Amino acid sequence: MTTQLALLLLVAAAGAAFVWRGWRVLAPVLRAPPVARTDHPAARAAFVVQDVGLHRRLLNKRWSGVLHALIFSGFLVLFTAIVQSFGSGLIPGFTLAPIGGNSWIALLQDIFAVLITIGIAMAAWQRLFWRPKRFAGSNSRDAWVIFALVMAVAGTMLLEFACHILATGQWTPWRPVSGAIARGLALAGMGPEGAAAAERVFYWAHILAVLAFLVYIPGSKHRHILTAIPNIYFRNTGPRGALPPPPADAPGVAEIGQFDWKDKLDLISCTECGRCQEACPAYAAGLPLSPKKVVMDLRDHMFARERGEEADLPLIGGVIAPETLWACTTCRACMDVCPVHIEPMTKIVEMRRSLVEEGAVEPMLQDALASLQRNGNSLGKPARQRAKWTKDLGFKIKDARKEPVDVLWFVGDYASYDPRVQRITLKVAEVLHAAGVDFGILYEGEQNSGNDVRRAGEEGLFETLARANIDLLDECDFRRIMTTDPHSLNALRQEYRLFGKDYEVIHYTQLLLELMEAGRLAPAEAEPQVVTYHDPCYLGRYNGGFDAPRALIRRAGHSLHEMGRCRENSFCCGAGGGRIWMDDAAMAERPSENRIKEALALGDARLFVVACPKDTVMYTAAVQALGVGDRIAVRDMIDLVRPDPGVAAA
Amino acid sequence: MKVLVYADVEAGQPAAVARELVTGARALAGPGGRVDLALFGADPSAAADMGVDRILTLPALAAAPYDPAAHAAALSAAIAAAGPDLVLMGYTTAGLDLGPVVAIRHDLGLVSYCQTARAGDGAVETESQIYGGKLIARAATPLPALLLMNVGAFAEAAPAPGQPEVVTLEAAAPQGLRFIDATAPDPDAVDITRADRLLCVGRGIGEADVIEEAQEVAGLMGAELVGSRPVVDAGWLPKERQVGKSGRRVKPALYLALGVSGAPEHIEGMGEAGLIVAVNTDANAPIFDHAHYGATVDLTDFLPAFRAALEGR
Repeated sequence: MTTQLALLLLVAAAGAAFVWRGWRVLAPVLRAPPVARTDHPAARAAFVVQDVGLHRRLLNKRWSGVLHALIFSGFLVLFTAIVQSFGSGLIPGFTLAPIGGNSWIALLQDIFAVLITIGIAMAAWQRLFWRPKRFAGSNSRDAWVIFALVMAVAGTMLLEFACHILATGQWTPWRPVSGAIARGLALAGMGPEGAAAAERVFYWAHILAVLAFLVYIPGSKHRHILTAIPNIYFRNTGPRGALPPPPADAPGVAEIGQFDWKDKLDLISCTECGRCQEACPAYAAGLPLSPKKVVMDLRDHMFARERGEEADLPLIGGVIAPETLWACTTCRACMDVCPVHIEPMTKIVEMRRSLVEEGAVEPMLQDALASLQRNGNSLGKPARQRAKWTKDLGFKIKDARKEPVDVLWFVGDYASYDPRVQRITLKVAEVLHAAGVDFGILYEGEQNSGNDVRRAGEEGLFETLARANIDLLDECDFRRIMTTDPHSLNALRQEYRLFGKDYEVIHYTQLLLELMEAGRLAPAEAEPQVVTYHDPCYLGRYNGGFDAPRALIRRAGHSLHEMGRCRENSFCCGAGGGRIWMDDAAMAERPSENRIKEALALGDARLFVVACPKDTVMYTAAVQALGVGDRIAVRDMIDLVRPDPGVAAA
Repeated sequence: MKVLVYADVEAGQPAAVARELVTGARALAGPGGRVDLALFGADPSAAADMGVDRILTLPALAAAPYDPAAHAAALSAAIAAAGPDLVLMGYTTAGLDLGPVVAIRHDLGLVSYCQTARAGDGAVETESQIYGGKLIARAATPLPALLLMNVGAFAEAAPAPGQPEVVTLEAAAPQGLRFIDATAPDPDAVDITRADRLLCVGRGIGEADVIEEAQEVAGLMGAELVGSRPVVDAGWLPKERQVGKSGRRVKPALYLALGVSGAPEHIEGMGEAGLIVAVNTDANAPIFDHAHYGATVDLTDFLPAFRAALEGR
């Protein structure tokens, strides 16, 4: 009776502490502004199964994924032991024996206790000896406390079972591990009476370890065992390439309270695993941005506010530095690697919006935005010169504003104005013409699509540009839009849905592949080579365009040697999100140069194939800056093909 | 007319602009008028020969570093004490800092970028250069008023003789700003945007040791040595010598580009140079699209030959 009462009091006290601590964490989330995240329940549930049950993202890192699976599954099984301990302590006669508590459940408990131990050992090994850089800045003490508590829970359980076997003499094949420990204890000289006493000790040690764990969780990153599932369930299921709108009553987020409840659920779900930090091109470049640190800093600030502290600390310029916000390339890698689907990037854009509203804009970005406002392009060039490049063609491209076309080519700023890209633009035009594609352009009517303007936080200018383009497109007769620029593609395909437009937009690599398959294009007359290919963020991660470029490379007769960071895991060139307009002097190493080195390290790749005008600009400069022009050359997709001689002749 | 001039101070002395303004103030004040000088960052004796009637000063500020809040309070006190019809300040950092503050505080009409100022009937007539000097704006502003005069708007003339009276003002020292440190401009720093001739080296120079040779050649031709981004990236030249979009924009009379390929970002920084001469082994380098003269020569041949030619002059 006293034991029961003592246990009851203990459980009540620990439960109360858990609820109190949990409430402090949850309160700011429940108070936050609304956002709709309850549609498509079936799809959401399926995602939870994939990312929690099957560890889809976690297993992208083999070692960490496996150790997590071991600990995670062990916890599920050990939950039965916890039920057993507390049940038998609180309710006389409670036992799991009728459903297999002494047989298959016992066996599973023994086996998974060992698996948990292996998992913890792997985790400890990783932290002690490998020390991945992604953990830099994470709270490692928290991790070690968790390891110790988990081992205490599993270890006391096994010892309790072992002592029970020794005390009662009930040896059973269903408890091979506990039995082995019992034999060890017996060899060490423990008798049945001593074992009975020790069983009580380990029972209470187990109870205390479990309760300590319970009380500890809410204040630890380990609370993700409770928040990860809802955080994945309530993830953004909207189009990947469409940014969420600003808060209802403000131009952007300038204050922690303005983040919606899902943003805040993100903050309390972070496990500080650092996968985002490892994937971040800005972090790799030595800029003061780690997505993980952004999430941790926002989280700590949110909790400090709850405690009544940091009331005067501004969110931007206090908690998060403006340089941190401007460092982001919006490549989306951080969001796509996060095992619990946290969105650091959208939070950064939200805060950029309020910087723009205040007029606190990076100086070179300011120049670009001013030019976009005035000229409709970021390069400070007159709008009427947008189609000047067409003068070098031997034919006249249809004016899509005046006559119907099958393919409306949205050319884009860099492809129109930058001399390094104009060569490629001309070639695209010549190839399409020779292959008999019915296409046209908008000439000087086209303006920047606004993709990166939106990502720089300039909502108003984005809307101006988008509406101007839409008004023009409304007057044109076309079947589908083509771009060479993945950024324009993303805006036209995904962002313009904001204005009710649902265009069919294709990337030129897809059109080239279609033409190749239809026999209207042939491989360029060149020696087959070993090439590597860089996935542009806005073609790959954002729009799933992974396969057409690769198919084209193969059909062009080259062999593709992939870099380690490819497809979904591609490494941004550093140009996105408006970064191409900003100063990169603060970088220790430009992402583009890091990438060229990766390609060189392949050893045999002679061509660095790109499918984005900004990549041509970035990587041409990187090859030049590294002085490796004799070892690798940047080539656009269009350089791999030519019109089929038969078609061209006809 | 009573005119009050605020004196910018440099190194403990009234700056040249202060002397110009006093000359202008005398003319505006006319015979029988009065010219007062508000002098805060220096000792009144430094302005004894400037030919003003009175010097208004605040001893606490005489040796203190420039503090905009303190100077605004002091100037405010000076205006209250002197009751001027017209306040003159230079269109300088201090003028920009303080002018609008005291104009609001004392309800003075404020005109900026003034190139001329003439006393009218109960008003002051001014001509301001606006839109970077493309337009002249004429204004007649009722007195009392405050003018921010362009530096050099008045020619400094020999001061009228006389011993000015020193008036000590009182003003509460404002709190809030704390002086930490002053950094003087680096006397060795170059401003490549002012150089008449520039010798630019690009990635095509190959090795770092060519920089030294290029430096000597630049010295011989009276040019500053500058570089394109890769050269600065490599640490061969300091950042302040970088030409281009992320460096400086320059417009020298002569721009000699050695081993510069001519990326658009570089062209953006130098495309308007008077005469562009490019030397590059790659005949297809885009720099040749912008150069007035070009040569496809290896720099290892070009530099010694060019140097010999310069030395033989």
